[in-house]
Amino acid sequence: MVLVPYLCQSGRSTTLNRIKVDWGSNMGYSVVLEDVKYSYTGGARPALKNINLKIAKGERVMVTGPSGAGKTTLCRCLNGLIPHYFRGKLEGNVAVDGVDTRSTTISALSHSVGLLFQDPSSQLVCPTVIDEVAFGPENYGVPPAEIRTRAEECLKSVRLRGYEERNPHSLSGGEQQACALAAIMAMRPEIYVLDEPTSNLDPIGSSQILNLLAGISKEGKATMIIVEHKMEELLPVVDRLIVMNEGEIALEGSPRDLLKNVDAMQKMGLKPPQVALLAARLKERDPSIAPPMTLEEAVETFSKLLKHSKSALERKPSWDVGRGEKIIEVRDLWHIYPNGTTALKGVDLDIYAGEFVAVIGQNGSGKTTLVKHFNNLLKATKGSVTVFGINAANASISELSKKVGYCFQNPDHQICCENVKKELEFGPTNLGVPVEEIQQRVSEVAKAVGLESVLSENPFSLSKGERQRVAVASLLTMKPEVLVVDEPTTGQDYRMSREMMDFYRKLNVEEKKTIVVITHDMNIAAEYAHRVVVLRDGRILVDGPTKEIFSKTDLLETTYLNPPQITRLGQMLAKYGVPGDVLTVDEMYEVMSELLQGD
Amino acid sequence: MVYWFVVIVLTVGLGTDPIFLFLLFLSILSVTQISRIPISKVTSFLRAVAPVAAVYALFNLLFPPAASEFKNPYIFFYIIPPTTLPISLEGIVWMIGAVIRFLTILLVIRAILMITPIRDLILAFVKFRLPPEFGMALSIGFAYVPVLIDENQKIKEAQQARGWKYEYRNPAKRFNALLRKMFIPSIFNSMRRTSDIAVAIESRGFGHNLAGRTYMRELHLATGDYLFLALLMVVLAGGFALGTWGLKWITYMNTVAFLKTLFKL
Repeated sequence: MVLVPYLCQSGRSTTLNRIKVDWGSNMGYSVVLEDVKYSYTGGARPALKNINLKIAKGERVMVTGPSGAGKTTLCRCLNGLIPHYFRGKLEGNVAVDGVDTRSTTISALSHSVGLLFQDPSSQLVCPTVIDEVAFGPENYGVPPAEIRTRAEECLKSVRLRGYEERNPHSLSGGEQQACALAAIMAMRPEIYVLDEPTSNLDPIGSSQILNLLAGISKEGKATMIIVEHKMEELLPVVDRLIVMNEGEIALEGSPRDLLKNVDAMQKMGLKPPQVALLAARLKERDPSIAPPMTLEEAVETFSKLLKHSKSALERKPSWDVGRGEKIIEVRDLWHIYPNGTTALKGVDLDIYAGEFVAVIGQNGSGKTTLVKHFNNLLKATKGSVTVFGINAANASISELSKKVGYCFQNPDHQICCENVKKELEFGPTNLGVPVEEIQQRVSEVAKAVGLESVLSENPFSLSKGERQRVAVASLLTMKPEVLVVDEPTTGQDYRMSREMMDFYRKLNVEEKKTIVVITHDMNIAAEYAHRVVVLRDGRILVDGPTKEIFSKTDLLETTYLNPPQITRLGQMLAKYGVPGDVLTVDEMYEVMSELLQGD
Repeated sequence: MVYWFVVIVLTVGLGTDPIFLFLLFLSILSVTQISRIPISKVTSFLRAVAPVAAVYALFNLLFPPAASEFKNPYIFFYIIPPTTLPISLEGIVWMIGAVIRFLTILLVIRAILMITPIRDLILAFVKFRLPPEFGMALSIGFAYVPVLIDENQKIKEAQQARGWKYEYRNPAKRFNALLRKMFIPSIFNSMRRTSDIAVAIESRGFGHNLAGRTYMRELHLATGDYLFLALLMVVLAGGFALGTWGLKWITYMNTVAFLKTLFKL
């Protein structure tokens, strides 16, 4: 087992002398970083530099920033993973709870610093949920009776009572992360460090975790450092916002102050609350507007503004989408997995050439199961699937994969060749395309996707964003007419998400590819898709043009989905003539400008 | 449980007589019944391993490892006449014994896993002085089985979606295809996961003070358990004795001789 050397390494001596930091002016702070600079071994540039940061006991801090800004590196400094596990070069001083992190160990620091990671599945290590929660306290020699009390208490507060004997990996994403959070809580840390705890979760799981965090932070005893992208949900519950960029602290202050500076955040590729963005744009019209932090505040702010507007809005319905012929036809589709789970319960769906369709719904609603029928990765238990006139029941996967490309969520499940060029050749070679044509396709696709310069490189040495491009490119060389993309933006920052989606839009518009994208990001669905299909519990809840779907807030709420914040704002301002189907900040700005023109 | 396993495996390993092995197999079946494992689970398990057992049987029939011991074998026919690959009475009896032995060992392992939660097994190991690091590694290994199965499925589907076929007739080709196209992604993912897990457990204090580590679930061995252990020790000693002195008469030779007399071959 590969794990053994790591585990043995963790048993290193804990008898180092802990160097007490001379507190002086630093009394009352949980965390003090002074002139911290850190480079990973082999890293071209420092991952952190010029970090001076003091976090008070009981303070709640949100840290945000684009990918590669150094957020995770900062978290690793706080529980001693840097410098003890990730060696690299650390300069400056990091003191946690009055102890210099260099002078102690990860396991000793972890007693006061509870670190929660982004991917729940790689931090759950025990065979059952209750053992998982007990694991931390066991390591610190807490008496068994107390461990049990703590475990039960923590499972109760994350609402996992009744799951004690389940394998943590059999839980849903949100439940897994809740279990990991309970496991941290059971150690009773004084400082919580949460590294993107909701990035890998579906909307329901994400709101579960955010609610739990708001609950813990309200109790107000522990210091909390939360790394997140979701400003709309988190800003109202934190005391301070820190924006990192390129290894440095770029902006720092109270959320309300920093919202006055949304332009700077946008330039860094971040996504400030949509209502704050709107306020910033309307400022040129009315300089007195203060940026709202929540939807409720926004309704108040913009009501005042719109109160005097007289002009009625004339809008032509823009819901018609030009669509081509029907290419995929699904009729009364049922799918029952070998373990007895009924994932689809009679789905009817038509996909037309040239469409950009978003499939949304919670995990387990049947999204992935449905689209896997489009290229025969799954066969119908009952009902029929027709793809380009071919009855899927009589076709092979490779036959349909010429027509329908399926891009998996994690590019690392797909990449299997020693260099990017071979990766791109793999698909067409399997399909028996002549060699000269393969070469031509590879150079065409590499150019279109921007991979020309890395064709001879090992795909595993590329960045996550590039690997994702390699995965898509390796499907494009098969020249499919339909591209099915499973959660392309999960775990990515806003800028990368936009780049990825812009790329799919380009394929849709310029190359006339039909795009079917599964996503948990409502803003992405709202902005890019022509049509939205909502699944709930194996059935289609509703299917229609994007604007129509997102105006049905009540219906979406039945499956715990929320339209984008700006759409909800529009719905709450209905009495001033704002339509309920505005999907983006740009569109809302136009609507507002038009409404205010009468002034 | 572990001792029971050791006893059975040793005895099975030493015995080659199909009748004796069959009795042993029945004894394990009865243990599964005492432990209230539904018979359907046992049969479905046996059905699942049947293809492997069949291949194993065929190999043992065609190439019995004990072929050199066969004294004056009664040969039914040759697969490739005149004298290549004989099918003999000895060979068939040996094969039956081998298959039952194979199934017995698998069933013992399966029964242990069905009766005892992995956690208790690991706790027992740690109680008997296995270092906690190894206990932890075992525990992680078992916890991740569903994750790995799921991941392999995804990798396979991701390759199939690119027109990859792994269903080659030729086993060498098939193996090569599987190795190249599934192994690379799974190794990459496992390596990254290993590092993630190491970081995660260290961040939860593993290794802080291994000697002073506590266990929420304490494994109490009842008097009954100790008695049972003692009994198993006796059986184990008996097994060794049998192996040294007695097993000479519990070999497949007996059955062969018995059948020969019965049918006057």
